[in-house]
Amino acid sequence: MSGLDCLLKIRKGGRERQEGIAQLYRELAPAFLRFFMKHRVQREQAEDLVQETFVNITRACDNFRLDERFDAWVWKIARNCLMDFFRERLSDTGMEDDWLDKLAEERSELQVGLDSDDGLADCVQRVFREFSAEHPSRAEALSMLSIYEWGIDEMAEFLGRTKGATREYLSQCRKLMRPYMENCRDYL
Amino acid sequence: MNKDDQDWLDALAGRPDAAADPDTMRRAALLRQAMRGQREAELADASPAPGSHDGGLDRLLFRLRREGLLEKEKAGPRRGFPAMFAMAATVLLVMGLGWMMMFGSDRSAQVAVNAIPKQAPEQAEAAPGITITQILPAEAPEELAAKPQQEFSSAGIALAQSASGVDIRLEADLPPTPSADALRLFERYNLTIPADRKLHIEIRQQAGQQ
Repeated sequence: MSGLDCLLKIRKGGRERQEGIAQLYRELAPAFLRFFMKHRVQREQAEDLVQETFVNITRACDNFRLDERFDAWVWKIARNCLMDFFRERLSDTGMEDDWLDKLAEERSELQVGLDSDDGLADCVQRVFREFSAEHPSRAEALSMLSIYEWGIDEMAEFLGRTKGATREYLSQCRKLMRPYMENCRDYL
Repeated sequence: MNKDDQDWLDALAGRPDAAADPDTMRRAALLRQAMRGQREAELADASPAPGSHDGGLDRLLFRLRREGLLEKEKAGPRRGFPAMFAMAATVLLVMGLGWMMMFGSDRSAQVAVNAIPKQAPEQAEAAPGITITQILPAEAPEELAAKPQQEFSSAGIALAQSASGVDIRLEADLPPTPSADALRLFERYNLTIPADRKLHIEIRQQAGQQ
């Protein structure tokens, strides 16, 4: 059963709703948990956020339009839960455009070296891990694009930005990624 | 965003452009592979072990129930075919009762009700002399009939089968206290337990099906 099928069952209410929720939970809860923890949310709080996300999916199930991409819609809800979580902790601080990244990213000294026996694939994997550690939101956005094979429209929905702003954001992601990839230059 | 950026993003999303710069394509393909590999490994870590009990789901269902989000049935008329049966059942019930009151007949009248979803098996009260026939719509009545017959038999209720055209009738006298297995079957098939303990099910060919 696809995620969309689950959502349609949730919409029906009653027993079908419970079945749809259970199925969707089994399918997506680990991915949501991973997503929140990648943004440096502690596991216990991340588990609460998973719960919150499913409650909001249930509440909003009637708002889903059949011409939307289900995965973009559902991940937008997860991302909004994460933003609400951080907002509560940032109520007194100014909101910058990139505040989620800034909050989640703890700059650390970049130390990506090449081990002599590393293969190219291993090297890229390693530098992406480093990139993820420093830029979790951007790394997640690129991962979403890759996993769900989203276009600009879906990514804009997920990020809650205009298409133009989304293009700019992704272009910046690539720029930030470049120095990391340079560490694998000898293999390229 | 320039064209090279767009090509890079398209390749990351699994839509490489053959006309794009080969170096860009190669880097994007490697990165895509790395991202997907990392995600799979992390998901495996975050997933509960197969067969293990997931307390998170129980917690979620508890919260949804508490907030009234779980029991909510859609408002408005029931959907499609069952709705027509429900309406027909109401009309027939009123007509049947009217007939009994007007003519005081002791002949057995038959009232059809559609098996509609509910949370738990309920007892249906019927006026004396009225048989409640519960309707299960099916595309292939014969195929559907075999399964409940077998399952109810295992639960201690023998359903006698008879046919009326393409429709199938199943009948049984229920024990005073049906077993837990039998109650579960009533729930699963959305059947009501008749107060007179005489179960009449009709599996009807759905309109438009043959």
